[in-house]
Amino acid sequence: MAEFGNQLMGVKNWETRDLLVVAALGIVPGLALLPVVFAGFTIRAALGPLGTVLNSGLFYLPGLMALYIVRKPGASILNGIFVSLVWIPLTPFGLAVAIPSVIARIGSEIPFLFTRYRRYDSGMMAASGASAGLLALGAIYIPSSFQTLAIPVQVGLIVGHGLSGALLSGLLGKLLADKLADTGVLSAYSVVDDVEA
Amino acid sequence: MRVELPDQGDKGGVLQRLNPVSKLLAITPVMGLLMLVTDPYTPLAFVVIGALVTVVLDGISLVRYLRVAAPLVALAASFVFIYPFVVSGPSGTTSEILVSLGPLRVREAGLWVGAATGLRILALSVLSLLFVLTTETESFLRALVQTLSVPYKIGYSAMAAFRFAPMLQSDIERVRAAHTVRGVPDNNGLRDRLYRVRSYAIPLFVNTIRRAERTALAMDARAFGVFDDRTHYHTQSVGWRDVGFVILFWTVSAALVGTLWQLDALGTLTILR
Amino acid sequence: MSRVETRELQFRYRGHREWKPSGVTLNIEDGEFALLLGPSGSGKSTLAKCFNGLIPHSVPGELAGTIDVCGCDVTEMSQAELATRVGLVFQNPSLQFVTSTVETEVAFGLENLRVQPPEILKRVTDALDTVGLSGFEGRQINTLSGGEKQRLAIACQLAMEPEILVLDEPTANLDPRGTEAVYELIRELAWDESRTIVLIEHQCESLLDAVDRTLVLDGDGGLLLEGTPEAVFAEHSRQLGREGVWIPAVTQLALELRSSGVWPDSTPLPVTVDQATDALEDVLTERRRFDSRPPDSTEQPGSSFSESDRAVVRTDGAAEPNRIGGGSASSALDVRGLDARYGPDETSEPVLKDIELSVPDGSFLALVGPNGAGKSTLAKHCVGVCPPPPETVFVEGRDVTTLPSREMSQHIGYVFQNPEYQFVTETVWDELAYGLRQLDCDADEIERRVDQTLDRFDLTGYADRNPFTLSHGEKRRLSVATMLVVGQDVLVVDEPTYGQDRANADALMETLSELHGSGRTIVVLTHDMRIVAEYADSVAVLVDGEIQFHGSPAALFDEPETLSSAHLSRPPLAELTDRISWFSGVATVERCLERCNSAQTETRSHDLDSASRSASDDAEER
Repeated sequence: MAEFGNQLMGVKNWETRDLLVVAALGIVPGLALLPVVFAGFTIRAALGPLGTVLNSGLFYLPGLMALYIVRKPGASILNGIFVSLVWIPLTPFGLAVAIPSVIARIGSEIPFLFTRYRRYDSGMMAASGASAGLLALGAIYIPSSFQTLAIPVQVGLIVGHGLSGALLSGLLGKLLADKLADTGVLSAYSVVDDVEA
Repeated sequence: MRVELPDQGDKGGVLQRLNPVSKLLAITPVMGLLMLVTDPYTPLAFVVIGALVTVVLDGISLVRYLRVAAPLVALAASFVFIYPFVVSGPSGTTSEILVSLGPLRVREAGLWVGAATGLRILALSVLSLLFVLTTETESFLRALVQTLSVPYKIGYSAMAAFRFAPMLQSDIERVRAAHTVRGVPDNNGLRDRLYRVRSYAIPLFVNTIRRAERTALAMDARAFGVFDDRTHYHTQSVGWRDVGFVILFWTVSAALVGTLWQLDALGTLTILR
Repeated sequence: MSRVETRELQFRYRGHREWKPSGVTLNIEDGEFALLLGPSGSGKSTLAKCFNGLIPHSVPGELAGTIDVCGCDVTEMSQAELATRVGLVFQNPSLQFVTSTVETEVAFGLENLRVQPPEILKRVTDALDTVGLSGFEGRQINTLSGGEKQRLAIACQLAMEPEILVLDEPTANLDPRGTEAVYELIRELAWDESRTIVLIEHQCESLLDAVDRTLVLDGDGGLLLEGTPEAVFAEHSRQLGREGVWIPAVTQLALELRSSGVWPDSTPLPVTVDQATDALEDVLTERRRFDSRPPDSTEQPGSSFSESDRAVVRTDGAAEPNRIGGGSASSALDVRGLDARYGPDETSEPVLKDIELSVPDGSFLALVGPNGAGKSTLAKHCVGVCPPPPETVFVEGRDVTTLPSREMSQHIGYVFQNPEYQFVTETVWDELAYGLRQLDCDADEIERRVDQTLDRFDLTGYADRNPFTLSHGEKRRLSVATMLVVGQDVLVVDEPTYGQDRANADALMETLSELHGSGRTIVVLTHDMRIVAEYADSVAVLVDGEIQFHGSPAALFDEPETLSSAHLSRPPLAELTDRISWFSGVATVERCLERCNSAQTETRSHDLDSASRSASDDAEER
């Protein structure tokens, strides 16, 4: 984790282009997801824990896309910080949604940390998404009293979060980024080399 | 639902002149507490206090305030109506039945929980409005950089990226119009909706990324990020006003909670589920 | 001393194959005002980014050759040093700002350089004063007009006190009024001998007299020509034309007159309207006096005449759309008493007030007016993007409110400014097939029509490409093609020349002109008076939601009040005829020749009405 912190502190060595792409991928979806944040709380209140599974994956999608496109350690976490900058002042749930969102992004970086940020294939993206989903679930597990639920429900919750992260953020993020690479707009990034190869 | 971003104008309110960080500091503990309460009285008290502070201290017109707050009130009210049907629990089956509609029974406990949850959401919203209505995004970001030592590259990148949001909104309208002209069906079936999301996403992302790159170049051309620090033309300092506001707000809040506790109106505290 | 000196400079963007620019050796002298021209894809903008070190410092790619700025190699200079030496203003006015108010924006660059606040205040005040934005300090940037934004962008650079100011197509996204204001400012800045200015443009008629030196890149990214504007345009105009580089309209006129033998080789070709005024007067007078040989050139179907032929037909032929065998006087588009408001309720501000507009079948209408006059709102009501009230908008005689959107798109096409918004599939081929599939055509039919359309729009080699990877000009072409593949008869085009270089703009206009020739009805929304003069057969001026004028372009150019109320400028050739007492309307080769011919039989006091009447008679005979 120390390496990680250093990387994040290394933001002053980031190029402005990377910073702005990560920021745009944080703030624009952050604003666009505001209604989902509001609705998400309502759904959670109404449907209980299973409601969180449905929309959780979408919340880390921008982070995974940012990481996949920019390919710099910490891109996903930084993206989460930009999202928080939107949510803290603009939603009544502020920190309550911002903190799990940043924790999820820390989760998404872990699989990449193991491969030293060298591999960016579907497997990695799915693992990263799943890891994000599980860590985010972990962050709200005890505060939401999920441990008191019946065991099958808990299992369902864990599997659901992992799958939701892997599919809705990991693989969907890769798909979107690859489609973007096809348009030529990402020619300045390494993602293009992959697609052409 | 979307909270309106504050527009300019209304200059000179007391709250607007405060350092945004001190406003955030004042409301955060209260918001933390509100997430834990289960009774309807505490949130109700903070709805009143929050609204009063915003309207009186900042001189925002009541009409404007109500217009912004109305959808939030509607959201809160919906809890009162939805909750009684979905909440079940140990007390849910034993409490008194108020209304019975065939298989649907509205119990007193459900109504109670619904009211508490609705008011809690409303109280949280009112407090965040205190911040949102009196703070420009930009001065918030400046304060983060100057007062909380957030790296300026992050703060100013965010500032630039916030400018993309209205552009994206007009993009969406244009893409919708362009698709209509192509004869893309505008039905509301699930398949058509999914197809639309898919075909809108690419042009929207492409434009956003292109904008980010162009703006980044324009920032580089003006020496952004060349040095580790920067000077500040408009300074966001922490003055006696800020200290006074935070202490006053905390004192009033503590007194309020104390009184409610004395009156036995403060229910048990649990995490918001 | 040279401020900028490049030797064999070439650059290749990451992920691209070609080098643009490729091996450019040039220098920009101290204190000069240099104009850099070149066709699209010649690497002009890339060169601009090299000048201030964005290349190689911020843009990934390969750089070869050398570039020295103020005597130092760019690769060895720090970005801080470069930012204070070279200021760069970009094309898009809204994508170069970070903050939201005028004052904080100018301060942004200075804060980056760690300038102390009292000094910042002084420099902000000075810079805003220089660009004429004093008093705008607290204004929100998004309330500024495009021209004001671009002047603010210049102020942001001036505050950093650069020795060299580079402007990369600063007016490409502006309306005529904004363009004029920015040019006026550049002219003032150029007076200061200590400042070096490099202006990259694809055309800049009204600023040419201030330019010290013109540099021209060719399509492959090499340096083609350099010299004074007179030397470059007058001596190499044919070469420039071949390369697709813009030539001043007056030079073009003189050139065509020379090729038809009217303009003597001994008289130099003019570059500015001022030069042209004197020269043209002399030339025509000389000719009237000494040459009594009847010119034959009006009958000559020479290729250099194609443009002017059209101009004459259009100038006077507004009343009769040039459709062969057109017995039907039906309207392609009919607007009757259309009102529109911004909001849904009665109290909101009106955008369109009781619009009455009839576009005859097969005509070419230019809809002009200042920004915010309601041009695109009107167009959107016509194509059904905004639903109009019933019984107000008729396409080919049918009330649009009764047409479902699918059927609507078979009758009328709308080409957006940004073609990317209209792409709904992933290949060029599918893009064209999309509309046909909606019609439930069978596969063979689709195949046939798509291939035919690809061929017609010169896109055959691109069938499998992703539409987003095409060049801007190709995207526009594809966008027009998708709007016509189903066989739509009416085409509305939003700003065909906006934000594009001359070659692309001309190519698109040529396409529209051909479509018009084949009987389609074309409506263009534009600021570009050149289109109005050269292509349109009628023009409607929309100001504050009302039609202020509807008639022939020539008649519009004779109404200075209407033009100025719509913030429109006259095309240079109309400006020219203004200065020559015995001329009116737009000076075209035809009309100049006409003038010479009539000199034999008519006196100088002859009024121009009959001159234009005879021109239109000529047109009818042909």
